[in-house]
Amino acid sequence: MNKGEYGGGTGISLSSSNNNTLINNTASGNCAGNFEWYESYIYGFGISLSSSNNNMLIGNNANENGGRVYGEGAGYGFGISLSSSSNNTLTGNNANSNSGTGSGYDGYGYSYGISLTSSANSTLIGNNASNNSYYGITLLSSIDNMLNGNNANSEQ
Amino acid sequence: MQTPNNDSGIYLTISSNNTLTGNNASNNNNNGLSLDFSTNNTLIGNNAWNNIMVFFVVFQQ
Repeated sequence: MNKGEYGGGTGISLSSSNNNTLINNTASGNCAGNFEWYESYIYGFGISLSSSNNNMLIGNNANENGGRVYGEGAGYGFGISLSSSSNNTLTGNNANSNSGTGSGYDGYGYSYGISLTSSANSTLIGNNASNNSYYGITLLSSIDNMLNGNNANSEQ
Repeated sequence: MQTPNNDSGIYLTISSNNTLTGNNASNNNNNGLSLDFSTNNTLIGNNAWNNIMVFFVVFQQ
């Protein structure tokens, strides 16, 4: 395997999908892993939305997801990830204890409870994103979102 | 020993107005439950656990 980014290990994946409703689903313990030795970036997701708009996520569990790298590179774990997705509503979801791991030579691990990247006009209310090893809730290049009453405690 | 699905447990593509309730989509090699280009679907109380993608050993010198 050559260097690069590799996804996989996703509980629930929405890609270019709009106006869907996800209620009380469980997407936990999903991961991608490798035995790589050369600049790999591995992702594991609980719930992933990519280029998906106007969806509602209510009361879902997305815990203990992670990417694993053994060697040079990084493992990323996401509870709930929104990428290039707008006008979504997340209410009362649990995205706890997600953990990306890296071990061996120059391996790193990062994790996110709820991550918004290049996403706009979404509403996050009363979600739990705690005990993730890097970030509870993170917004990157995202605008006009509303966060209210979420819990993001005890990040390590 | 069960054989996992090699991509997704449950896969909807270009699909609309479906309701998925109480399904199990676990222990697959990539995604548990996957929607591509799909709209107006409702997913309630499904389980998507332990979907694992593994990349095998390559040592590059």
